Amino acid sequence: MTLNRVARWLAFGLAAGAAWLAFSAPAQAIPLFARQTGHNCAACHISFPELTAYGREFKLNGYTFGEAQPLPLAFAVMASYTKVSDNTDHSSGAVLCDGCGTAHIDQASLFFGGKLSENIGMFGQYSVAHTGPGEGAYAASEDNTEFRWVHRFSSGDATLEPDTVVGLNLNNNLTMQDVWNAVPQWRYPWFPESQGGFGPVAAPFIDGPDANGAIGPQRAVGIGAYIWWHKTVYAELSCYRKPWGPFGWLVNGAGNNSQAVTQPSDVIQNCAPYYRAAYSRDWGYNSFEVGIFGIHANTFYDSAALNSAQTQNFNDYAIDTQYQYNKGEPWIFSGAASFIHETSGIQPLFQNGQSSNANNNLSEFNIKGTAYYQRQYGVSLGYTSITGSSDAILYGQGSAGGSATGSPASNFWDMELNYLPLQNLRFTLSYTAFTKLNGGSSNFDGLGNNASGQNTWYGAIWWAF
Amino acid sequence: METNMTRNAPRAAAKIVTGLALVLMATFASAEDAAAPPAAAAPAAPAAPMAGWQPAPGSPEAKQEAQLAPARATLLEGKWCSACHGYNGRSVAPTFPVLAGQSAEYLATQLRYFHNLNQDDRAVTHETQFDQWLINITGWRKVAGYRYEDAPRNEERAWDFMKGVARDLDEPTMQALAEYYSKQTPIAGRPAAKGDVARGKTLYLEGDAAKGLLACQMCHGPDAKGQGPIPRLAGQHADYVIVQLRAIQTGIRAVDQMQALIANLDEADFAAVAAYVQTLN
Repeated sequence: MTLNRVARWLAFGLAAGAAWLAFSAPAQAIPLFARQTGHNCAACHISFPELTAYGREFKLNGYTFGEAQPLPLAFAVMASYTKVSDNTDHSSGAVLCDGCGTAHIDQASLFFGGKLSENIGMFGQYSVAHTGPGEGAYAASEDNTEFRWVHRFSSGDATLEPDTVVGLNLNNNLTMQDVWNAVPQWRYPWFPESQGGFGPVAAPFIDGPDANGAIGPQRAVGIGAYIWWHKTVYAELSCYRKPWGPFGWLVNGAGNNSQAVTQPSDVIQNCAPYYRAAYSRDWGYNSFEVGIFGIHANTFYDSAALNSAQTQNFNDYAIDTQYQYNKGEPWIFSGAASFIHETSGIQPLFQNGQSSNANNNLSEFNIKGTAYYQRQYGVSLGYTSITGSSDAILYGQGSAGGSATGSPASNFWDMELNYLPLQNLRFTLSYTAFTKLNGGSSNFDGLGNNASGQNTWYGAIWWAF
Repeated sequence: METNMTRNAPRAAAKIVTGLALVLMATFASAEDAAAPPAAAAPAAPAAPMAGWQPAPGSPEAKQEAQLAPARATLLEGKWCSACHGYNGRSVAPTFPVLAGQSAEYLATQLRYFHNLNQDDRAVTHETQFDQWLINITGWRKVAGYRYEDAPRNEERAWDFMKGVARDLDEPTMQALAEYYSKQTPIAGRPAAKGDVARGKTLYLEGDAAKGLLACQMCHGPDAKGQGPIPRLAGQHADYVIVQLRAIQTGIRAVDQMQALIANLDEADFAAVAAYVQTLN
């Protein structure tokens, strides 16, 4: 309770401070990369985290533009207010989201790294965040972090400027190394935390933690190599595996999570190959991208014993596309879409009575559009659709928030309004509307809960300095 | 010339490494800026000396500097510059002007202007006490962020991008870059999406007495190739030209010689003359 009160006062203080900043004077000191390059945020971002064509160049060149900073740090704070439409679990009559309906600090982050040498750059983030959308506990952990080494060369005539970048990267989150905003880590909605009620029971492996055995963010270490040729073709091959030795600090906790053996594990066996290829074309103010990506992972059923005889496999195949019109005087438009299809073999779960099938499939489609006026007023609309094979046990038939039919099918819309009085200060109001959740719309879990009851309002302030 | 520069880059880089200690020592000896790059981060590629540092004329450092600048320029354009202005200064997006074949004197002048924006008090008038405190305790470089309503709308790009790029460039590097781009092959003329080309041609070659416009070609040349401080316009992105014309007309971009001349032109005139110059080779 004391913590709640402190958090509430902090949130109030932050809101007041942000308002004061917005209406009195702008901040000069803006985050790490801006200090390093002298650029304004708008050079690289349509709005955080969506990258412009130049932002993609900056990232693929390993964050090495500009001058290394003597104290390479930056900070970000996010405070929010979440309201669930029907904040009651009708199976028990209990309150669904305890902390919803009050403002609180979501997350505070420390960013570090940037340019380390002419060829090496780093994006480091360490965060103290809510463990859930309510007023739960706060936990500190290594957030999205990556290192890059890059080399540039001229692929043809020696009179040509270097037109090809090759790079090595090391990161702790699937798809965080990508530069297009259609991959799971960087796609819309930007604030997935906004959900306070029941949510979809299934998501593809490549898209974060879920009942289906996906690994969570910052649970694996990826090492890979990429090439960026003529600002046109991007190709990458990476390997994700459980953290070891010197890379243990890149993940939450000690690396091997402490999930109970009765749950699907998120410890990858050997090395899970991740591939990515994309074609990009710029003309006028337009940028267009189309690409594929995917991962093939085997995970241990028993995350403690790491028994090789009991593993599950997840095969994700995805296509994505993105379009941007970045004139900015006054309008910017962008759109992105991705489709991920997954087949999974979960024999150990099946044998232990934790799933109805030994094999499942799952598809996730995501599309969004964004418009910004004068880089200050933004509106986004997104739609996500999840479909897949029914699995009564895996998808929680008979438990609150689970699927009565065993189907993982969910459809929801995300709407977002943004106001950025300063480049580094963002006010967001978003609304998530479920038209279908876990196979149904009304009484989807067979215990009295409705999909529309999980619709969520979310207001947030995000400030970086 | 540029061919040699590129081909010799590795050798030049090797020379640079050996010469780097000297340059760095000179840099640190005169560095008042807390943000001097730490020696540990000293890269194999040449780091630009601190702004304001000038070797004594005729000194060994000056000679070294003269030798380093072209290689440094090559390395620089291989990274930052081409990210927006395209390979060899042939940009794709009209947000960023074509640099290939542009007048060297004009390019150097512009780079100096962007560089000096960082020193310009007007660029950092909105520093809050909090910012000053942060800068003082951290040694962070100043970033002239701006409130959206303060930003000179038509010069946003210069503020967003070029101010930072030119921040840490020294005079020899700026001159070498300007030289380099002036020698690249310009983009061929191409039709524009909007604007009355015939009207633009008339405006460009003959002016418009009723609107007080002298012929553009009087300064920019009949082929729009520019010279000396007068920029080349032939093949430049029409949209970029329009944005600049607006900025000059409203005084946001200070070009005294032109402001009065184009005072009575309207958007259709801008589009027409911009479309015309984009068609020129």
